[in-house]
Amino acid sequence: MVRSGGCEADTANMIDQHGGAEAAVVTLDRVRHRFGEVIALDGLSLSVPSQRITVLLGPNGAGKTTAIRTITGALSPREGHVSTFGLDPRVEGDHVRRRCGVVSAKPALYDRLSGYDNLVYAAELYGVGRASQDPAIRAAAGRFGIDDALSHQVGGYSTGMKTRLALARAVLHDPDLLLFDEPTSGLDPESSQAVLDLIRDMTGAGKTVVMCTHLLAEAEGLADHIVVMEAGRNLCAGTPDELSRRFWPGALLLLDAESPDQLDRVALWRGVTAYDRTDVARVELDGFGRVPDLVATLVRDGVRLTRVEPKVPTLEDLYFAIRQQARGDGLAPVASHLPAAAPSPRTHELTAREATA
Amino acid sequence: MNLRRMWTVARTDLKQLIQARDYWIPMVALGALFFLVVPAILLLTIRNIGEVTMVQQISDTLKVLPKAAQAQIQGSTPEAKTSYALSVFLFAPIAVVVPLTISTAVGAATIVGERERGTGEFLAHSPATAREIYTGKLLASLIPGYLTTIVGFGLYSLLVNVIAGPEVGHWFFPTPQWLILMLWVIPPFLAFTLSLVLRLSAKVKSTAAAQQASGLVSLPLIGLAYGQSSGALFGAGVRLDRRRRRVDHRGVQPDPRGAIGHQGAPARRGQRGVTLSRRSTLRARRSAPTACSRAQGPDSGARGRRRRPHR
Repeated sequence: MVRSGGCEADTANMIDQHGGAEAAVVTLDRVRHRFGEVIALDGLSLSVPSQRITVLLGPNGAGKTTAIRTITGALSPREGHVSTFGLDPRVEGDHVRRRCGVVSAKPALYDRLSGYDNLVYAAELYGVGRASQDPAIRAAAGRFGIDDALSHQVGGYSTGMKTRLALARAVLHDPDLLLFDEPTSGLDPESSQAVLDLIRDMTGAGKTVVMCTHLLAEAEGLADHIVVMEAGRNLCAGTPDELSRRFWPGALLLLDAESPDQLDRVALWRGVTAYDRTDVARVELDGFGRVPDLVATLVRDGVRLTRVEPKVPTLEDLYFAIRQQARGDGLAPVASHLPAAAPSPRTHELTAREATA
Repeated sequence: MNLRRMWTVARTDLKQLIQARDYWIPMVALGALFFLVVPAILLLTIRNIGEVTMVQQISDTLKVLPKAAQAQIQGSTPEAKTSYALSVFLFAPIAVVVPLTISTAVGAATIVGERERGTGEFLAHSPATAREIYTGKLLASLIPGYLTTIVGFGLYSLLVNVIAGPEVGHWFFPTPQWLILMLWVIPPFLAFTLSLVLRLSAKVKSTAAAQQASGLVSLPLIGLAYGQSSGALFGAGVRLDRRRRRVDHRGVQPDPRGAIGHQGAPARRGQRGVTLSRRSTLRARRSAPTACSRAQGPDSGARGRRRRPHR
């Protein structure tokens, strides 16, 4: 059951209005592309707001990498319109790609060359002048902490060092748009965090970042703007807060008590829109304003509460909710397990008077 | 097309080849084997064999060459003639086989290799266009093979002149035909073959498949080049010979192998031992029935068209 304004099916493939409201660096409009029998992009529409981190979320094969290739013009879609910096990458790919920096899922480095030579190659292809090449290379390598290893052959680098070198290569020519395709793939948690911190720092310098990943945890806290993709389509797009509000306009509360079964009565109270109890009780209310009354009533009824915790939906909750809605199962409540509260004549109305009595 | 970017692609590929000792050591070995080791062994053997009968026999085998080619062979002794013929004619196809082998080995792996290593993604997202990348890679494949061949050719020239020069009486190598072959024939031939190989490399899924496919392309072309390079050297001799001698079509000398000409035709004034160029051979073929008809009588030559003697 769709409880509140989720991404309706008919709006799923429209250009994201949120992104479109700001200056959009990238716009994809009903883009279709297929590789043989496999449909990679199926009418994908999205926009990337300027100076934000846009995260493309989706399972493997959702079309994230193809979308990135389309944005830079590395791939020319068969149908639809692509605009990057207001230019058509199919026609002016040279100009578009010069303003983009890309880090692929594989670091895509030349193992036989030294780190320095890899960066020189990129600098020359991206038109960095000879005079400014060396300072630019040193600065980019220093920024990602690999300046000491520049003279070594890349074949001897660790995976983390390769990723750092690929990041340095991507920012070497000071691009306006950075595209990261699963940049933490194959990295240990510590290196992943370091890479994500570096990506976050880049937006501070006014860059626009598009990152695609299927790891929800790494997008959490990083994404300014989310595009959830599946089977080459845009299921839903917006800021995390906006999407959370759209899907869960109410408040979620985690409750526990010395006798947990005493909490079940809450399911029938007025203002409770969903209730589920497994290890702890998860209560969805129509607003946080009801929390004091609810707690006061439980206390008055003699329930000895051991936990009262407001719950903010995670990106994972959001992601699964969006995908479930797209599959036509109706929007799942947060954590996917909360049953809808059935209206009942026995529903209590919590009032301030009751709570204070 | 941005030439600077194209050259950047080529230069970086070449830099990687230089770093790859497992690639260039066999490449140098191949060039050395064909341009130095094998010729040196053969020429030294002929010079030092000592047994005059055997050298005479080898020298006699040169008689199977076209007469114009035979006329080109310099030297007064059987050893000198044999050394000259081997140096100029026998090793000509090496100039084709060596660069083609080296360059197709590089070219076959160049595009599909980028895809396999994942570096193709970097190039695809770079400002370089497909044409710049393709041309850069063509150059990077062509240069190692051609460079090896030019260096090998220089060393081969030195080797031939040092070993066979004293026998012949003077330094005679490279001949004009070899210079044309090296400077005019090989580069475009190599570029054409590589353009096919690179296209294959872009189509296939793995380097192994690219190597197989490039073999299919290059082997027939090696055969063609082998024939052409040999033919060019022999044929050029024919043309040179034609300039020196006046060909009289009224009296075509019977070909010793019976391939052309009118057997039993009487020798005429001014006729000498003439070998025909390709063009004059065709003319001779056309005129042959006329010659026959004249020899056999007017009735039998009714179908033949009389041709004005070509002077």
